[in-house]
Amino acid sequence: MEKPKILPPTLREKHRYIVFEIISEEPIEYKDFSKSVWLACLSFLGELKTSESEVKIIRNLFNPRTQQGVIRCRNDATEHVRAALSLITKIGEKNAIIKVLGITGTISSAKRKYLGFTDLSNFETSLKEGE
Amino acid sequence: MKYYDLHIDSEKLEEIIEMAKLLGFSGIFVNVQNIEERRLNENLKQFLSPEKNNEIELIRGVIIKAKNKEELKAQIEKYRRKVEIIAVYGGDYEINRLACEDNRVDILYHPELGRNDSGLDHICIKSAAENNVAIEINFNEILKSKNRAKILSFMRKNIKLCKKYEAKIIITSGATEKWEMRAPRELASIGYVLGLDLKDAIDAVSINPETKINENREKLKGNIIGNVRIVEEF
Repeated sequence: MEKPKILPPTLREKHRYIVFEIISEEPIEYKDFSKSVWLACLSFLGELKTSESEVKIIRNLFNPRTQQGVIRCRNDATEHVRAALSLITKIGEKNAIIKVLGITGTISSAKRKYLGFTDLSNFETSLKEGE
Repeated sequence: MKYYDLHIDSEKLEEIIEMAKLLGFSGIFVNVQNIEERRLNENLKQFLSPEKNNEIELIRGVIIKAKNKEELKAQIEKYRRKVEIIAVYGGDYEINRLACEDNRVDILYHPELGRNDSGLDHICIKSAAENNVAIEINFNEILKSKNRAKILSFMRKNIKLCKKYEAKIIITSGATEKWEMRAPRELASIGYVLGLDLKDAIDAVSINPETKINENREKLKGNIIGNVRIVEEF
């Protein structure tokens, strides 16, 4: 299937990346986490506001060892997504709190500032080695 | 910036302190009624003495649950010169109004608890602004309520009135166990969603509580009498 062309920079949506950390009793898997994030967003913000904020969990940045990860959303909806994340109490029948570490404009600065990667060239391999 | 959580009502203090450190608070509220002197171990005693510089300050306070005017006044009189924060457990309109009209009260907790309306009107908020009584937005109330939309709309009404009459707002977690606590910036985002400006929302978890605590500590030391502050003694 052919994809549409990438939009010119002026027509693209502006995004922000929310870097978070899960505090919980036991380590949490990606599947349970993404399910509870979607449920929280839909129940607190509603379908309309969730669609506006364009929430997307970035799968290959979720680190099950350190329980850290990145969520992408629109730049004017960061506070709304944050409020929705704060209303999560349980992830997969375990008590959990999602703590936001910070918000960045690009993925690379998120990696450098919060996820502790100094050399970004071999990011993929270093993630696998860490596991 | 220093962040404070001024409504935690739990007996398991060690757990709460641990979690508060993780979440990045610099001070948390401790209900003096929960602590019996003999049950305190050395570790906690160290925290409770304000002279020592610890990672987390414990702010001694009291939550007053009164049914009528006489009880409320007697309780306030009993505790005012002993603790740093006096909070009144709201919910009843009469109690809400009395608390707003008393300048010895610091915070009015959840005025909309168990009600079918917001629990405050323009008269209450006006006198709250005059008497420097802060109105609380309770996160636990939102978390546990069955009808979340209703509670949120009442809180929105209170915030609107507070903005108009410039009464202070304080956002707290209202936690009864450690899993109900949230990081300060997340609490602020709830305030933003409910209609506060972002700066005011962040102030509601940092500067508003801090000024309140510092003022009351000065008063307890005797440096502020009425509206007069002792700057220097000759």
